[in-house]
Amino acid sequence: MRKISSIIAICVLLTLLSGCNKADYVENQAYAVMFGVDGDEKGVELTVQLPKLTGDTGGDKGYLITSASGKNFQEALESMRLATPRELNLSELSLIVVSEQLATSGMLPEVIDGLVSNYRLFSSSNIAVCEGSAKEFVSAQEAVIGTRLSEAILALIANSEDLGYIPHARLATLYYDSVSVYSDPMVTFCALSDGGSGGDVQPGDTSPGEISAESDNKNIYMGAALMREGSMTGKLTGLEMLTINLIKGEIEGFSYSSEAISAIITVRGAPSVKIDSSGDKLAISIKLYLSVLPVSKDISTENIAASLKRDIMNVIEICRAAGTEPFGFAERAAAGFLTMDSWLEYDWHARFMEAEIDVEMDLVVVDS
Amino acid sequence: MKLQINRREAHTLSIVLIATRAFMGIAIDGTEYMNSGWACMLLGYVLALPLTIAVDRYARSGANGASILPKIAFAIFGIIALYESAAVLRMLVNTASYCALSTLSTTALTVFLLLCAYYCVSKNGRGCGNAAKLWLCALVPIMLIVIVAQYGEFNAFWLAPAFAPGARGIIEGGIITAGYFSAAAILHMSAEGEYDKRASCFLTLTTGALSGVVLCALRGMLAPAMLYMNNDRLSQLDALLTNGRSSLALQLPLIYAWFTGLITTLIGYVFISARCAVEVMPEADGRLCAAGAVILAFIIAVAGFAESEWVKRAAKWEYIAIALPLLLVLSAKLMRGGVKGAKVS
Repeated sequence: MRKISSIIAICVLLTLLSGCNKADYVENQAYAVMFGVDGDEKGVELTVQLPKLTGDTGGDKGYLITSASGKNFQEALESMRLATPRELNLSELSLIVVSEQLATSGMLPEVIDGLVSNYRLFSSSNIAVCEGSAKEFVSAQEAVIGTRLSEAILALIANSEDLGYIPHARLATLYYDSVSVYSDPMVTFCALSDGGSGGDVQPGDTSPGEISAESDNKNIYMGAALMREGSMTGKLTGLEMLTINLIKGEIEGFSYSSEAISAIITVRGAPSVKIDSSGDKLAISIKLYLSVLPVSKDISTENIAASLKRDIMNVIEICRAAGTEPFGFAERAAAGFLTMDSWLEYDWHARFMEAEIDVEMDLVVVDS
Repeated sequence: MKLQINRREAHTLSIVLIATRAFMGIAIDGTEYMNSGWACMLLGYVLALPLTIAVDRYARSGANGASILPKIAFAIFGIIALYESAAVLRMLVNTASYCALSTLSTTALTVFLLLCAYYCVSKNGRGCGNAAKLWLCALVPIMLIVIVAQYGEFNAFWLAPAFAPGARGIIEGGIITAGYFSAAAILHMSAEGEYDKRASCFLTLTTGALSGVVLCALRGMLAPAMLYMNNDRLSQLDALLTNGRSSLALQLPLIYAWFTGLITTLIGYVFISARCAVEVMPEADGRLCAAGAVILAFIIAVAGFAESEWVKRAAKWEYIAIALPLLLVLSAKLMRGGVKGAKVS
């Protein structure tokens, strides 16, 4: 009798579980893979790529492009929900693309707030700022290799991250860094390639749209958008981004060429960053530990060190001009302060703009 | 049924209860303490220490006697535990909403959770103590996996500035945490059996508080101090459980650890409120008291009195509300010469 009543009780309790949530059938969901946001003072336009789940996932036939607009992000999202033939589900989103116009307009914080407070959004989505229209960029994205667009996007971004040409930009990290009081975030920069103009520009030292290459893949991710308080204040080329990754210790090696120098550089150890905020002027010293495998003949370590140092100082000046500090120095400097009030009073950004920066190189030439 | 819990069971249940509740209060609800929650917890430990030492002395002294003072004290403790049950229940609903990626029916979910809590409490102190023991056994390997797998994602610089909210903030956080830690004192006061130094209130507090300190420090190293962030629980849970960097594979064990920790805490608070009711009314049936506690917790949670803003306001007074009656009871005993030498098992 006791067992029977226990079984009945469990069955009754199980029915309550259905009160937790209604069942979500995959066939009733429209899983967005890519999400584009365009906007200006007149309003916001959203674009999504949705897999049709028809069995034919090859090429553009397998994906549906839907756009909707509204006076602000929430209204546009509501219109998008109405326009989508199934329940819009953002939990499998691979990439969010924001147009450069919107990113620089000051409207981005509202969009980020709207995105992170969305129940159906996975905050680990990649985020990028694109040159031109986000709608065009999203519409042009295809799975050139493989059949699944979501996997293709993730592989594409992972490849650019490994090369060091883009930052590790996720929606959550952009949001957290924007609302925190340390270093500023960066977002991947992207554009539709027009075939490039060639010339004697170094690979990676152009806008992603001007990359000198021809491919079926027109969506190029290279460089970074510099952000401050949720708005874009400047941009970096792929090579400049690579230099920041070198300072942050986030790459293992890269191919380097500058004027008559050509070498393969490997990182030997984590960079040493020392910050002295005790004096009137902030002092930052950076020391990099690198191995150099010369490709061109007759190059000296002094030449490479001088060239790299010049590149680093150049990137620091670009960031200063944009009013940002994306190097991760602020976190280290904050360790020297006891309270948040004293840290805020120190006015990190103003100090960084006038800081004395010293770059040192510990280079070792290797033969293989 | 006579509702009772022995010292070992009270020890295990209290460790889970105080560590989880303090973590919830400081790391999720206490955004103003930023990444210095660990410092608040350390201060809370220091503040709660005299209480636990006093309770250990109380435990050695034997029965409560017929004095009216302990009854009043237990009535106050019961009300506090009842409110805390509702607060934890609300957090469970928030967590379920976060995991389910949509808003959920509070009523349906709370009924189910409270039935679980009632079932466990109706199995007496042994049921509750063993539930906590099981959770602790599972938590250690889970946390090890999470720490090892996320090793590269922890950033110790995010713990700076060390005392971010300033002296006033740290003291406020310390008092709040001391209130949560004091729940261990209540459970130990009502525990049965002889004093056991391997399950003393001091040991409970030390283990629970230090676990809380470590968990808070780990949480602080996962995301930067976000001064201008939304203070809603959904954002805080996202920062804790996903934070944009945690591997998808780690979310399940993390959510499991957090959710079951909260359920065990709910069970603990429901048990405390029912046990306090029995202390006030010794003739009352334990199951009836547990049922009453569950129904009242449901009413408080559904009526909206356990929303985070209410809970945060109440938390500031919890330490005083527990410490004062406790000290009065102990002082009365001391005045009557009731506290005697320890009988250590």
